Amino acid sequence: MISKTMCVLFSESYSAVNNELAAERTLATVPFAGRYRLIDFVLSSLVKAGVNDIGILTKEHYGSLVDHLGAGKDWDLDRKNGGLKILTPFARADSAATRSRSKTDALLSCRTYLEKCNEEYVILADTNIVMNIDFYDLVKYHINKDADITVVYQKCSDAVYSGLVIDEDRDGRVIDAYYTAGQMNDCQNQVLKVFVFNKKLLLSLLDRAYTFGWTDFERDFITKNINKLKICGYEHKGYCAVINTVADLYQASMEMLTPARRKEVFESDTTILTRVKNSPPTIYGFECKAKNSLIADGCVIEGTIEDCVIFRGVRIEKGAVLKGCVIGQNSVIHSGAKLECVITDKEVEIGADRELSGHPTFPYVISKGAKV
Amino acid sequence: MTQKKDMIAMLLAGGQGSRLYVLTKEVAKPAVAFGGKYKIIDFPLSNCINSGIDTVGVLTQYRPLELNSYIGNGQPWDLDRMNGGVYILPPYQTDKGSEWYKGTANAIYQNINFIDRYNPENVLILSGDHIYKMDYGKMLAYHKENGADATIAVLNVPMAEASRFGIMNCNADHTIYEFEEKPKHPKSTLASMGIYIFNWKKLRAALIADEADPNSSNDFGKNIIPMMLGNGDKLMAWEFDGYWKDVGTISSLWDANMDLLNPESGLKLDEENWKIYSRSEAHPPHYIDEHAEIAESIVTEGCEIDGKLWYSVLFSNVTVEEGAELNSAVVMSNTVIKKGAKVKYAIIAEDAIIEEGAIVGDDPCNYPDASEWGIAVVGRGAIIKKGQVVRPKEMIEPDANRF
Repeated sequence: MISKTMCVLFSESYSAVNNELAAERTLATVPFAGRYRLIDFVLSSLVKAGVNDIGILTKEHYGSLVDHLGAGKDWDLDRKNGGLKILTPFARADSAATRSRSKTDALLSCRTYLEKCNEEYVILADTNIVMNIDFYDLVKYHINKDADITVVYQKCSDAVYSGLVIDEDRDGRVIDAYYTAGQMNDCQNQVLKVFVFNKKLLLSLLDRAYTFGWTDFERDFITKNINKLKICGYEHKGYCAVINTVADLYQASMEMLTPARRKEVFESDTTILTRVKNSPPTIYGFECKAKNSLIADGCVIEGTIEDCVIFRGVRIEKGAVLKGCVIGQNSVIHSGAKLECVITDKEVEIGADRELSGHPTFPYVISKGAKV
Repeated sequence: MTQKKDMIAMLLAGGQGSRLYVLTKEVAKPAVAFGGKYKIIDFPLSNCINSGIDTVGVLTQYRPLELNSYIGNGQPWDLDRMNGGVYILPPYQTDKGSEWYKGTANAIYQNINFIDRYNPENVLILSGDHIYKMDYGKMLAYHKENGADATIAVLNVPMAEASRFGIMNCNADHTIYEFEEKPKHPKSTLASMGIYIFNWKKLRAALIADEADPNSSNDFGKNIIPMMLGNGDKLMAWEFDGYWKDVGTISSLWDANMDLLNPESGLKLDEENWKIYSRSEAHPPHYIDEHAEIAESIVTEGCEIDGKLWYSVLFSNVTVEEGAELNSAVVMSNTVIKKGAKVKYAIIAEDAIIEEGAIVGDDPCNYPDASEWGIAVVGRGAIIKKGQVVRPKEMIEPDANRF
C-alpha cells in the first residue's frame, strides 16, 4: 500500500500551446490510441498504486472532462471516502479575476481540498503524459530520501525540448534547475511535471506564493528553493510521451503501432482504464485491407487502412484509402476518399473521393463535427 | 418499506445447457460467451434495463461461480440500485430442510418472499439462453390493455419446425385456449419463447397450488400454463417478430455468431437506442499486423491479428499469428492461434492454445455424407498440440493436454 498520499492533477498545462484538439476540451481529455483520453494513463497509474484521494483542477471548457470521468466509476474511484473530485474554478460569471491563470492560482484555489484530506504527501501531476509510472516506488523514494520535494525527470536528448532541466549531485539531490528552450543534443534531465511534496510544506509554499505573487510553478516552487529545501530527482526509465501539440500527438499515436511500445504501455501490470462505452465489436467487410493499424470497437471497415489509429464507431467505406491517419470517434470516411497524415477529431465526415494530406511533422487536422 | 414496483423480472439462469457439452462443463449456459464481447445473459439483462425494468432476480443453480462474479453488483447494466437492482438468488436452506430448484416454477416458488418484498403488479419470467432484443415494456402494455392474467411472448415459426417448440393454440383475438409441448401434429405455428408476464397475485396462487401437487414437474410450460388455462384465467399470446434464437446447441450457438456477419439476419448490435451491455475488461484497441488478411469478420478489443480471417468472430484478446488461417470460426477470449494453424467451422472456447500447424474442424464441402460433419469444439483452456488434428464434430475437453 502506498503511504498516505493524495494527488492533485492539472487538466491543463497552463502554458501557451497551440493544439486544435484541445480547443474545445481540456488537454486532459484529448483522445489517444483509439479509445483513451490522455488523463487515463496517469489516472490508471494512480489507481494501481492505491492513491484514493484524487482531485482534478479545471480551468475552462471542462465539459468533456466531467463527461469522461463522471463519478469515477470506471476507475473504481466512486467512493464514500475520498475517490475522485473534480475541482472546478471558483469563478464568478461577471468577473474574470477569479479565474485561474496559472498553476499556482489553481493550487491556491484548491487549498481547502488539500487541507481537508488527511494524507501526508501530495503528488502533483500533469495529465498530458502517456506513460506507466510506478507511484508507489516514487513515493517510497521520496520518503527514503527524506526529501521535501521530489521531481520526476527523464534522461533525453530530444533536440526540440523546451522546459525545466535539472542537475543532480551524486545523492540524487537537485543542485540546479533551469529553463531551456535551446536546441541541445546532449543528454538532459528533462522534468516531466510530476512532483511529490510533503503536504505541510506545499501549504506553506502556497502562503508564500500568495504573498509574493508567484506565478510560474517550476521557477518559483522548485528553482527558488533549491538551497532552502531538500529537492530530489527521480528518474522515470520507461516510455513517456508528453503531448502538447498535435504533432506530439501524431508522433505518439504512430509509436503505439510498434509492438514493443504498445506492450510497454498496455500490457504492463497496470491496466489502463477508461470510460466503458459498450460498443459492439468491429466488423470487417469483404473487400477491406488493413495493415499495421490499431482499431477500436464499434467500427465498420470496408476500405483500405495502413499505419492508422481508428477510434470507436468509425465507418470507412469501400474504396476509401487511409495511410498514416488518426480517425476520431464516430467519423465517417466515404468511398473513394484518400487521406494521408490526417488527424480527424470526433464526428467528422469526409465526402466521397476527397483527397487530403498532411506531413508527419505537420499533420492535417480536421476539427470536431466538420464535413469535408 | 421497499417501494412498490410495477413489474420486476425473474431470470432463470440455473440450467446446465447440457447440449452445449464441453462449453458448459464449467459454466452455466447463460455465462457462455457470445458475439465477441458478450455472454448470453447480457441479452435479457440489457433488455430489462432498456425496457425500464430495474429489479431483476437471477436464479442460479448449476456452476454459479462464473455467473455470480460476472453479474457482481450489476453495474455494467446500470442495475446497481439503492431500491431494486440485480439480485443473485441461489437455492437455500430453511428450517424444513433444503432443496434444489426442482423446476422452473419451483425456482420462482422458492423466491416468493423476494418478489413479495417489491409487491409488484406483474412479474416477468425470463430465461437466460436466448439471443434477442425485445422491449418488455411493449409486451407489458399489451398485457395491461387486454387485462390478461398472463401474457406469453410467441414467435411465428415455420410449420416444419413447430413440433420442436411449445405451441400456443390461440383464438382470433390472441387469447390462448391450449398449450401443447412439442406436438407431433401442430395446430398452430405460434411457438412459446419462454418469456411470460404474469399478474403476480394469480401466479403466486398458481405456484402454491402447483407446489402442493406431488405429481407436478413444477415447470411453467408443462404445469403452470395448463393449470391457469384450466382455471379459466385469461392468457394472451403476444407476437414478437424480431430476431430470436435459442442457442442451446453447438450448431445454433455457431449459427447465431455467424448471424452477426449477415446483414440480412436481423441481429444488429450497433443500435444506439438498444445497446447490449456487458462487463468488459479494459483492453486496448485491436492491432492488425503486416501479414493479416481479413474479410467478413468480427474482431474485438485486445486482439493481435497477423493471419487470415474469413467469416470469423473473434472475442477480446485473441492472438492469430502469421500464416494461421481461420474460416467460419468462433474464437473466444484470450485464445492463441499459432503460426500455420488452421481453424475451420469450429468454436474455440476461452484461454485455449492451438499450436503451430494444428488443424481444427473442416469445411462441410469435404463431407458428402452430412452426418459425418459438424462443428468442431475446443473446450476452455485446452491445448491442441503441434500438428494435432481435431476432426469435425469432435469435442476437446476443457484443459485437455494442459497438465
